[in-house]
Amino acid sequence: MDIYTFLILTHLIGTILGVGGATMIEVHINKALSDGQMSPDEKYMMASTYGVVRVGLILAILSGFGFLILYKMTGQTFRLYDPILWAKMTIVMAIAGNALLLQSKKISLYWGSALSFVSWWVAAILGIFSSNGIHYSFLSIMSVYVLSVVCIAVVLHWFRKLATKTS
Amino acid sequence: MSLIYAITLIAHIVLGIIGAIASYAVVLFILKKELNISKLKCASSTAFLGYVLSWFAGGYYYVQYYGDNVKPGIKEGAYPWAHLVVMEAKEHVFLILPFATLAVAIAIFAGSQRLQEDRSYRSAVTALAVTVMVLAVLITLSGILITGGAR
Repeated sequence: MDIYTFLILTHLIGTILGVGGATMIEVHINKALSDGQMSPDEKYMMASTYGVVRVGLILAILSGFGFLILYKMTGQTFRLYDPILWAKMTIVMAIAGNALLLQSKKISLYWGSALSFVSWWVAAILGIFSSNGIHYSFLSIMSVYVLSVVCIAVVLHWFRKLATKTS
Repeated sequence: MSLIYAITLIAHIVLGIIGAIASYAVVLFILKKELNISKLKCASSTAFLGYVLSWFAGGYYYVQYYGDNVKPGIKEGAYPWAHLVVMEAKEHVFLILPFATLAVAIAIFAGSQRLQEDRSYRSAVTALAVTVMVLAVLITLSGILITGGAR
């Protein structure tokens, strides 16, 4: 296996763990809040899923930097000024910053869960764009991202209310 | 680029990333309700070691290769600010980072009991740990900008 294939595989595994974990966290939150309280089993399940997301984040970051090193070594440094790359890095920083804000309870569940959920999905979609040569400006990507966070926050809140009502 | 310079550059990047991830872990662990001192000690010493080793690898690469082979190309290219502004800022800020990280590690190792009991002490260490983490992220981004400016 060459280095590029190894990096692609690691990056994909990291993204799958992150996107899958972030999605499952939303499912667990809805299930857990449906009876108004979180049981020890539900807490354990949530903590395990957060662990999976963190592993995904570390794998995605390390393999991402692996790509940057590879670009440098193969004379493709022009790729380091790609707006999609910078949008992805900004979103990864938002994921990491959001985890700290959630940990210190400086962000509400309303915004925190939407930010995590949307960030992982947008980062994955940007990866697909990048590998298929689809290009947008940094500002366009970030505008759609911010708008998505706002819209998804409303939708996730509506799901949580629905889950509480139907229980 | 010869193999030795390629290895020192890769070591500089990888060790710096390990340091930045460890600095992030320090902040994550210190924000938890129940402190896990052994995890904090492990993360803070990893961050310190990562930065010091990255510092030496980066310094060797800068003195032996970057100055004569990369810098002139950046300054004459389309993105001269990548060296004139970003590299100049990076190399000065990076001087502080290992010492600030060492201060965080000492505060955790020497004051582990106080960290759990004294809220103001914990807040001060958290503030320093957050500062180190933010600086590490900025330095990482600077590195990407500088590398991208060399074409």
